[in-house]
Amino acid sequence: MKVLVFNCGSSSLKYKLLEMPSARMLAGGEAQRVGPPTAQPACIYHRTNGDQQQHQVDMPNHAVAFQEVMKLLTSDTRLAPDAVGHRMVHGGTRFADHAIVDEAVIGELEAIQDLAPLHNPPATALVRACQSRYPHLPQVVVFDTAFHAAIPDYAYTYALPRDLMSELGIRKYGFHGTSHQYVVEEAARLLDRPLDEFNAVSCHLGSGGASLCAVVNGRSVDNTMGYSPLQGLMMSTRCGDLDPAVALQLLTFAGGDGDSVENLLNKRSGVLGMSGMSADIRDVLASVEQDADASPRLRRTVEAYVWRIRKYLGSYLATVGSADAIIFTDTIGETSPQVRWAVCAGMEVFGVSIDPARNIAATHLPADVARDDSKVRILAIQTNEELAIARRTFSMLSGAAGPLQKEH
Amino acid sequence: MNILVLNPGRRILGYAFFGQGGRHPLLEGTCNPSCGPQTDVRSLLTILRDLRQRCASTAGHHTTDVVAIRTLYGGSAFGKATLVTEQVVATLGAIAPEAPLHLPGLLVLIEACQEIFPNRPLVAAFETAFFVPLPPREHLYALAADTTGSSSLRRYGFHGLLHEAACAHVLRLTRASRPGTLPRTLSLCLEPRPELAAVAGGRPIMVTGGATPLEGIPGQTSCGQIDPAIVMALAQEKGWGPEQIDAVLTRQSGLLGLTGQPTDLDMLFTDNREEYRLARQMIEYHILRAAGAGVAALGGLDAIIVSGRFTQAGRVLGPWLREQLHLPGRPQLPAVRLEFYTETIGRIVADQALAAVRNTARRSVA
Amino acid sequence: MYRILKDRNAALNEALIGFAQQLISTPSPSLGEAAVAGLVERKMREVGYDKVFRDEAGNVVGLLLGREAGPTVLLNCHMDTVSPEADGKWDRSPYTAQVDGGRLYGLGAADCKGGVAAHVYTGALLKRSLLPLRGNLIVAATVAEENGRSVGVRALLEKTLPELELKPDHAILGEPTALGLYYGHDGWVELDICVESANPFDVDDAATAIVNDFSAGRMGDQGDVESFVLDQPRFQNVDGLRKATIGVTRRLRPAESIGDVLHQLQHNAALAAQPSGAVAVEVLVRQENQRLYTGTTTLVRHVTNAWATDPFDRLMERARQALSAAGCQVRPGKWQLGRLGMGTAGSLLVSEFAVPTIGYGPGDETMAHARDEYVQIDKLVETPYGTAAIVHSLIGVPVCGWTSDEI
Repeated sequence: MKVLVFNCGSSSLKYKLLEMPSARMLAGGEAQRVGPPTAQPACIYHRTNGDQQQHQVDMPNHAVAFQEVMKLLTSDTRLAPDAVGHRMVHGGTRFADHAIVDEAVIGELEAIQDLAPLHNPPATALVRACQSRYPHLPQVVVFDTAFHAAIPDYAYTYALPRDLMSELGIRKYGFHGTSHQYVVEEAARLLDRPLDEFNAVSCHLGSGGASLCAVVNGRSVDNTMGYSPLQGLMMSTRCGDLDPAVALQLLTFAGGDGDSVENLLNKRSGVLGMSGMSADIRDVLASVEQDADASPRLRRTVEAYVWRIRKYLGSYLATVGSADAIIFTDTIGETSPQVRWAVCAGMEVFGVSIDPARNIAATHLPADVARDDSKVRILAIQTNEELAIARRTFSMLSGAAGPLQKEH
Repeated sequence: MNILVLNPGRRILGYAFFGQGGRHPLLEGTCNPSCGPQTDVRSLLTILRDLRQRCASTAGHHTTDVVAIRTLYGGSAFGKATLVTEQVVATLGAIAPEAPLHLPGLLVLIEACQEIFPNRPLVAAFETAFFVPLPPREHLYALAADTTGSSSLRRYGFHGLLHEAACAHVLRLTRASRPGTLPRTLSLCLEPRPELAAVAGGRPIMVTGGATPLEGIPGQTSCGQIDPAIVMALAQEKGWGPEQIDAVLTRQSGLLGLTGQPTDLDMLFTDNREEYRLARQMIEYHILRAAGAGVAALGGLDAIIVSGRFTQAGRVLGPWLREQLHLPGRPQLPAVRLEFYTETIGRIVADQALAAVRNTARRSVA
Repeated sequence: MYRILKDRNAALNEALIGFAQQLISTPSPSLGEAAVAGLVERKMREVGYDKVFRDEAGNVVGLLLGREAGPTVLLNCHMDTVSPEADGKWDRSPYTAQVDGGRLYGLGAADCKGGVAAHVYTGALLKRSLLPLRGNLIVAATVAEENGRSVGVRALLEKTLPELELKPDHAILGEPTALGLYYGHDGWVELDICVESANPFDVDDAATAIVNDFSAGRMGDQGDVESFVLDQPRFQNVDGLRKATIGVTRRLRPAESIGDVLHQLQHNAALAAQPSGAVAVEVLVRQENQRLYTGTTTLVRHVTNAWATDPFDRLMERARQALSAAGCQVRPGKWQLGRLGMGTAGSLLVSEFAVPTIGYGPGDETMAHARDEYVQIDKLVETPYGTAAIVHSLIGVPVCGWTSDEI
C-alpha cells in the first residue's frame, strides 16, 4: 500500500509517500510559504528517487497546496497514493484513537478545532479538501494525543473543582504521542521483547518541544505535557512547570491580558528566557563547554534543563516500576550525548548504568548506550514522524493485528 | 530559659510556653479569635499582656525569657531562626511583597512583642529557612530574569521546620547505627498542603513547594501542580480576573474540589468510600512521582521519614511508598529505613530559638 | 485576602457612619466648603494617610504611597451640596443627620457626603489591612462641583497633582450609583440666546417668536421634551439697546459637540426672529466668574460633556472581576441624570484629561437633590470594602497563591 503522509505547518505542508509495510520512501517534499504572498515566492521542493525538483507555484491556502502536490505525484503512475495519513495535533477526548475519515469524522474535527487553534485548523481544512477531491481515497487522521488517551484517571485529572473541569474539558491530554509510540515500538523490536510486556520511559527531546512518556505494557500511562504543550519540562521557549501563583501574578501585571502572558510563557521563556542567548540548548551547551569563563547564567540554564529531565525520569521510572529501557529521541535526544549522560549518570539506584564510551560513539542510530550489566537499557532511536503516521494509517486500514511488521 | 512560642494563624494566635528543661509545654492553646496576621497593635498588646500574666503565674516559673515567633516566609535573607534586630525588621519590611499576606502582620506582632516583653530576645523562626540553600537548578524557574519585575522569584519549601527536624532525627539514628554515612532521605510532610523534600545528609536538594505554597502536591483546598495554561484558559473562557482564579485554585480545589466536600488526608486514607477513590489515587500518584524525582535527585535512598499532623494517613502512606519504590540498583544495601516524626512545631521552634540565642551569646562573648 | 478586608471593614462601620453624620450636619454650599474640608483633613490624618494636605482651590487630598511609581488610582467625591431649598420643603431638617430604619438622612447624604466618608474610609481600610501596595492611592474631596462644574477637580488635575508628579491612571467617583458600576452619562449645556436691537418692540416680538417656536417644537431636533428646558426671556436696557436673554438648558448626547449645537440653535433662533425686523441674534454658552472659599476666582462655563468609559475597557473589566472576587454584586450601568443640571466630574476626567473613570457610590441617584435625601446604611458600609477591592486589583501587590488559612 502506498501511503501519502501529510504534516501541516502553519505556512508549510510536508509530505512523504511511503510504500507500506516495507517503509520504503518513494517520494517526499515540502510546500513552503503556503498562505498570503510573501517577499519570496511560494514553491514546492519535491524529491523522488535520486531526483530533486523545485516548482514555483502560488499556494494561497493549504487546499491549493494539496492540489499542487497531488498533481506532482499523480503525474507519475508509480507514485499514485493508495491511502492518505494526516497528522493532527489535538484529538481532545472525542478521539481516543486515530480515525478513518468520513463525513462524521470531519464534522468532529471541525468541532474541536479550537483545542489547538494554530495547528488543527489548517490540517482539518486539508482533510476536507482531500475528501472532496478524492472521495474514494481512504484517509486516516493520526493524533498526537491518541497514544495518551487511555492514561488512568488519577494521571489525567487535575485537582480542580470537578464541575469546572468537565465544563471546560480541562484534563491532561499529553502530546508527541505519535513519536513516543513509534520509538517504543522500535525499542521493543530492537530488544526483541513483546510490545505488550514492554515497559519504558521515552524521552522526546526536540529543539522546540520536549516531553517524557511513561510506558507500561507498550501503552502510555503518563506524559509530562498536560492540558497544553506548556506543562512539564523546560523547553526551548516554554517555561514548563510553574507555580500557578506566578502565572496569576503575571496576569495581574498584564492587567488581565491573558494573551500576552500566554505569549510570554510559551515563546519567551524556557532555554531562551533563562539563557538570554539562544533557544537551542546545544548552543548553550557548546558555549559552556568551550568557554571556561562562561557566564553563570548559561551554566545554570544547562543545569536546570538537565535537572528537570532527570527528575521526571526518576518520577516515571518509579511510576513504571520495572523499566526495560529508557529511550532518547528527536533532535536533542538523538544528537546530544552530553544531555543523555547528564540525565542518566548517577541513576544506578534505578538499575540504570550508562556507558560513557558507547554514548559518545553513538552517531549511527539506533544505538544502545547502556553498560552490558545495566538492567535498564538506554536507547537512542531516531524518530520518524512520517513513518509513524504511515504505520498507524496502514494498520488502521489493513486491520493488522499489531502495528509491527518485519521489514525487508 | 523559659520560652514562649507564638504561632499566628488567620484568626487565632497559637501559643506554647516551655519551661527550663521541660520537653512538653507548661501552657498551650490559642488566644481569642479576631486575632490574625492583620490584627492591629492595640488588640495584640492586650492579648500578649494577658498571656504574659498567665505564663508568669504557672507554678514555679515566672519570667518569659525568650519569645519565638513561627512564621511562614523569610525569603532568601533568612537561612535559619534569627534574633530580631532593627536590621531584621527593616529587611522583613523590604521583602513584604514576597509574602504580602504574612510579613506585614509579622512586623506588627514583633512590635507588640517588643513592647510587652522588653529587653527579652525575640527570635523569628521561618518555615522557608531550611530551603534557602536549594541549588539554583532546583530553585529557579525557566523564566527570563526580569519576567515578574523582581529578581527574587524562586522556589522554597514551606514546611522547613518539620523537614529539618525530621531529617536531623534521621541523621542521629543513622549515625548511631552506621557512623560516617550521610543518609539520603525523602521527607514527606503530611499537612493540609503536603510537601515532599529530598535531603542529602542535612541539606535539601529538591522540594515540591514553589514560589508560594500553591505549587506541588494538591492540598485540602489547593490545586497543586497544574498546567500554567489552565490559568489563561480560565481567564479566557470564564472572563475571570486573577483574583477570582486565585480563589478557585487556592480555596475551592484540591481534595475539596475533587470530592465535593471538605476532606483531609486522614479521612482519605482511612475511609474506603468510593467518592474518595480518585482523590486518594491522585495523592498517591503525586507522592510517588515526587518520590521518584527525589530519588533521582539524591542518586539513591536510605530513609523515608513521615511527619505532619495527618499521622493516620502517614501510617498508610509511609509503608505504601517504601513498597512502591522499586529500586533495582540497591538490593545489597540495608532496606530503606522508614521513620515517623512526631515532634510538635512548638517544640521545634523553641529548640531553634534556644540555639539562636545561645549562638548569639557565644558570639558576643568571643 | 477578602476575608481580611471584610473583617477589617466591619470593625470600621461605626466610625464610618459617625463620620458621615458629622459631614452631613456641617453645611457646605458650593464655594463655602471650608468647614467640611477641615473635618475631612482631620479625619484623614487620624486614620493614617501617608500625606494629607489642602490645595489652592480648597480640595482636600490624602495619599497612600506604594512601593513603586505606579499605577495610580484617584478616588473622588465633591464636598459641596446644593441648597436645601432647591426642591421644596423638607420633613426632616437637612442638617440633623438622623439614622432611622436603615437610612442616614440629610442634605448631601446621597450626593455626595456618603461618598466622601466612604472614600476616606477606603484608604483607612487599605491601611489597616496591611496589604502592601505597588502603586499610589489619591483620595480627593473636591470643591465646587454642584455649582462650579467640577472646578475643584479641574484645579486638582491641572495644577495640584502635576506639581506632585502624580498622574492618575484610573479614577473612581463616589457619586450616587447605589453601588452599581457606572461608566458614564449624557452631558448638558446651558446656553443663552441673546436678541439685541435699538428697537425695543422688535426685540420683544423676536423673543416671543423664539419662545413660541421652541414650545411648538419647531426649533429642529432638540431631542425629547425632558432633555430640553427653556426659561422665560429676561429683558434689559444696555447702552441704548434693548436686550432679551432666553436661557436654554439642553442634554448633550455622547456624539454631539457643543459647536454643532450652538450652530444649529443659532440658525433656528435667527430664522424664528426674522419676521420681527432687524435684530441681532447670538447664542452663547453661559459662563460666570466664581470665587472659591479659599479666595481664588475662576471663570466657569456651564457645560458638562457627555462621557463614557468603554464598558469593555480594562478598568471596567478589572472592577467587575474585583467586585465578583470580593463577593459583591456587579451591576454595570450609566447615570440617568434625571434632573438637568446634574453632572459628574467624569466628563472632565475622561474628555479633557483622558483618565478612564467609573462610578461606584453608595447613594441612590433618585435621592440626589431631592428633599428628605438619604443614603442606605448597608450600602454606605459596603462601599469602602468594594472600593478597596477594586483599588487593590489595580495597585495592590498580588496576593495570589497565599491564603491566610493555616498552612
